[in-house]
Amino acid sequence: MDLIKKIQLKEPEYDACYEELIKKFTIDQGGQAGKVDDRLGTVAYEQGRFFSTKYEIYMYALLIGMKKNLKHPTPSNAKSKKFIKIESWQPRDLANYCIMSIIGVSDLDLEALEQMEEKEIDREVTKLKNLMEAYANGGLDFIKAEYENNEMIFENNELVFFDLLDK
Amino acid sequence: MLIKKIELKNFMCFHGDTNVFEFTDGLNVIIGDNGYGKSKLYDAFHWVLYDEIFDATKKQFIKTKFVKENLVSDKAKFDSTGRIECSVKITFINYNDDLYALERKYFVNNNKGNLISANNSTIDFSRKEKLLLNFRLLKSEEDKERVLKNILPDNIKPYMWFQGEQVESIIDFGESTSLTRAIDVLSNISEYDKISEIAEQLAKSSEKEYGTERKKYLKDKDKSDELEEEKNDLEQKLSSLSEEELTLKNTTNRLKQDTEKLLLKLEDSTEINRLEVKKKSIYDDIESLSNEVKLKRISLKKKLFNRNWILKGTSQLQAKFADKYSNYQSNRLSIIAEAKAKEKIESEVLKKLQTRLPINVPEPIYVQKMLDEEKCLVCDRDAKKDSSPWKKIKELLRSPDDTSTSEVTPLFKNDFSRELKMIYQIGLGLKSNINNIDNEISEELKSIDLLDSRLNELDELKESTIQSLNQFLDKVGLNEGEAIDIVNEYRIKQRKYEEEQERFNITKQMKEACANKLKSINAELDNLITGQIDKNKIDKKNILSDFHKIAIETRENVFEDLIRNLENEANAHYKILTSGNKSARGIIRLKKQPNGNYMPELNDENDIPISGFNTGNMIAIKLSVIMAIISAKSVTEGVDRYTLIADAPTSVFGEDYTVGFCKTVSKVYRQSIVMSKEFYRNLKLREELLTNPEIKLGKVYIIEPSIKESERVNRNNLTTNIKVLN
Repeated sequence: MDLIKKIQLKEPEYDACYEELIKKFTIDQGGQAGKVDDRLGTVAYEQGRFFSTKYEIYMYALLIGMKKNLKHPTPSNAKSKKFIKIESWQPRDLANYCIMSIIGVSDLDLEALEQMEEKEIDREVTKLKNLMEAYANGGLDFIKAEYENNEMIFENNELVFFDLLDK
Repeated sequence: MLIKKIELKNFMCFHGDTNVFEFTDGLNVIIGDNGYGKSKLYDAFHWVLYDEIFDATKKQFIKTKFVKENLVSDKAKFDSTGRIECSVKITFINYNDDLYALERKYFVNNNKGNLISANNSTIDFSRKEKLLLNFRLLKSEEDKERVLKNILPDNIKPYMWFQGEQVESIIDFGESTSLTRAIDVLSNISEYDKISEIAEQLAKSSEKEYGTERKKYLKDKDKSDELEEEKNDLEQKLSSLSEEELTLKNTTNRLKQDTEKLLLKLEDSTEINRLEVKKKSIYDDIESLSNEVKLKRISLKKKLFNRNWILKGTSQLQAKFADKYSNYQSNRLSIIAEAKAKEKIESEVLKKLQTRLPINVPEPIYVQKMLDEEKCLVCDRDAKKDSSPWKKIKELLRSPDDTSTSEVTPLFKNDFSRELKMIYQIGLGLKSNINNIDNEISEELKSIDLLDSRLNELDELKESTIQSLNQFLDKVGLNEGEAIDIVNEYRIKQRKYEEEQERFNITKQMKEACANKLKSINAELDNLITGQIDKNKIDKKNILSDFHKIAIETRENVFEDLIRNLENEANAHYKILTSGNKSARGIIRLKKQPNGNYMPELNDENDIPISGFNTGNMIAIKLSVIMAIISAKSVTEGVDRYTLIADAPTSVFGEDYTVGFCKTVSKVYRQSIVMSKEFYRNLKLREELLTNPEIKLGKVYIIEPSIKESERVNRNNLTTNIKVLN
C-alpha cells in the first residue's frame, strides 16, 4: 500500500465562494500564462496573467495558508469546487512539497499509521485532504482580502503575487 | 510707378477699414513676429494685381475663386450680417506725380450665420492727374493694361516682388535659360542672337552658291562626282548630327535643370529619409526589446513555479515535517532494533540449549532421499509428505545461517518509510533553494528594470525622432512618400543626365570629325578646279563665313561682358549683404559650364573655389545676383520706377544679414517695402535700422494682432494693430 499515492489520487476542493477570485487570475482550462490562446482569445491572456492553471493558484494559496496558519474549513453546507487530482499537479516536486508540508502541519501519527488497517488509513488520508482544503481556503481568503483592499494593485502591478509572498 | 499707400478693409487679419500703410521713397519696413500678418500684407499687394494669394500649405499662388470667403476677416464675418466687403486699394504715383488707384473688392453675404460667397472679385482702376482734384475711373482695357505694365512689367516682376521662400527659385543656375532670361532683362542680347542667325543663313547660302559655281570648273569628273557625293552625304550627316546635338543639349539641359531642382530638395529629402530610417530602426529595436521584456515578464511569472519561488518563506513547513519524520524514523528504528535484539537473544538461547542435531548431520542428500521416499531411514518409519515426521525431517535441511526456528511476525502492518523518505528528501532538496530565492528574484527584477529603462530611453528617442521628423516635414513642406520619391527621382534623373551628357559629348566629337572631313573634301575639290572661279563669289563666300564667325564671337563676348558686369554688381551687393556675417566671405564667380550654363562659385581671394558653402550662402548669392540684375539695369533703363516688395527675404539666413540686406536694398531700389520679423524681438537691430545713416529709410511700421495666437481660441475677435515708428 502506498500512502503518498493515496494522497496524490485525491481531488482537493475549495469553497465555491472563491471561484470568481480564482477565475480572475487563472486560466480555467489551463494554458500558458500571458500567451494569447486562439481558442480562448484575449480572455485567456487576461486570466492567465498570474497563474496558468487552477492548481497553480491552489498550491500558491495552500502554501500561504500553511505559512500563515490560515485555516478555513469549507462549511458542510457550503458548495465546494473540485478540480484536478494532485497527481496531475506540476511541477511534481512542488506538489510533493505541498503533501510533505500538509503531513508536517497535520496531527497525523506516522507510526500509528503504519499499524492501521486500509480503511483507517483512507480515513486519515481524507482528513489530510480536508486539512489541505482548509489551508487552501485560508490562503484564498487572504488573497481575496488583499484584492478587495487594493484592487488597483492587482490591475497595475504585475508582480503583486511576488509581493504577497512577503506579507 | 511707386507705391504711395495701401488700404485694407476686412482683408484677412486686417479687420475694419482703418488699415492704412503709407510709403515714401527708400526702404519701408513692416515689422512683425511670425503669424502677425506680414505675409497677409504681401498677399494684399499680390491680390490686387494678380487676383491670387499665396497658399502656404500648397506653396503656390491660388486664385480668389478657390479662396473665397477665407479672404474676409473672421471678425467681420462674425460681427456683421448682410453684405460684407473685403477690399484692398493701392495708390501708385508716377514720375509725373499722377496718381493711380487700383482697388480690388470681394463680397460675402452673411445670412444669419450662413455665408454666401461670391465666386470672383472685381477691380477698379482710377486715375487722378496731378492738376486735377478727383480720381476718374479708367474704363478702357488698353488703359488698364498700360497702367499694369507701368506698375510692374512682367519680365521685371520676379526680381521685384518675391517672398523669402521664392528666392531660391527666382534665379535657377541649373536652368540654361534662367541666367539668359535675367540677362535679357538688362540687355539687348537677343538682338545679337538674331544677327548670329542671319549670319549663319547668309554663310550657308553663299557656300551653296560657291559649290554650284565650283562644279563647273572641276576636272576629273569621276573623282569630283565621287567627292561631291561624299560631300553631300557629310553635309547631311553634319546637319543631322547638329540636330541631334541640339536635341541632346536641350535634353541634358532639361535633365540638369530637373536634377538641380531636385538637388535643392535632395538635402531635405535625404534628411527625411535618414530620420525615417532612424525611426524605423528605433521601432524595430523597441519591438524586439518589448518582446524581450514581455518574455522576461512571462518567464518571471513562470519562475514562481519552475524556479520554485512560490516556496519563499516556507522553510518552517519543511522543518515541521522534518521533525515529524525524524521522530517517526527514530521510533521506527527503535522498534526494529528492539525486535532484532529480542531475536538475537532467542537465537543465543537456542544455541546454548543444543536441542538439535548439528548442521548437515545427516548429510543433506540423505535427508532429501528420506523426504522423497517419505520414510525415515534412521528408524525405518513412514513419514508421509507434510505429516509431522516429514516436516521434522525437512527441518534437518536448514542452512548454516538459518537459525530461526519459526516464521517472523512482521513489525509493521504497512511500511510507508520509503515514500516518507522520498518526500523528505524532496523537501530537503527544495529547502536548500529557499534561502536563495530573494537573491534570484532581485537579480531577475534588476535585469527587467534594466530592459525597461532601455525601453524608456528608446521611447524617448522615438518621440524626439518623430518630433524632429514632423518639424522637419512641416518646415520643408514634404511628406515621407514625397521624400523617397525625390531621392529616387534624383538618382534616376542624375543617371539619365550622365548618359545623355555622354551621348552629347560623343555626338559633338562625331560632328567635329565630320566637319574636319568636310573641310578636307572641300580642299580636295578645290584642288580639282581648272580655270578661274569668279573672284567675287569666292570673296562673298569667305566674307560671309567670317561674318558668321564674328557674329557668334561677338554675341559670346557681349554675353560674357554682361555676365562679368552682373558678377561685379553681384559682388558689390554680396559684400554689403554679408558685412554683418563674418563667416560669409568670398567672391562670386559665374562660371561657364561645358553645356553653356553658368553656375555660381564662391571663390577665395586667390580665386580658388571655397568648398561646402551652405543654403544660406547660396541664397545670399542669389539675392546679390537678383539685385545685380536690377542695379545693372538701372544704369541703362529706369527700373527705379518700380517698387521692390519682399516678404521675409532674409528669413532663410538670419539676422546677421539683415542690416546688410537693408543697406543694399536701399541703395539698389528707389523704393522698397520689406516685411521682416528680425526687427521685432531684436531691439538692437531695430535701433540700427532706424539710425544707420547708410540705410535710406522710408516708413517703418509695427504690426501686432489684438490677441496673441497662443491666447486665442478662434479668430472671431482678431484685429491687427498698426503702429508707425517714424
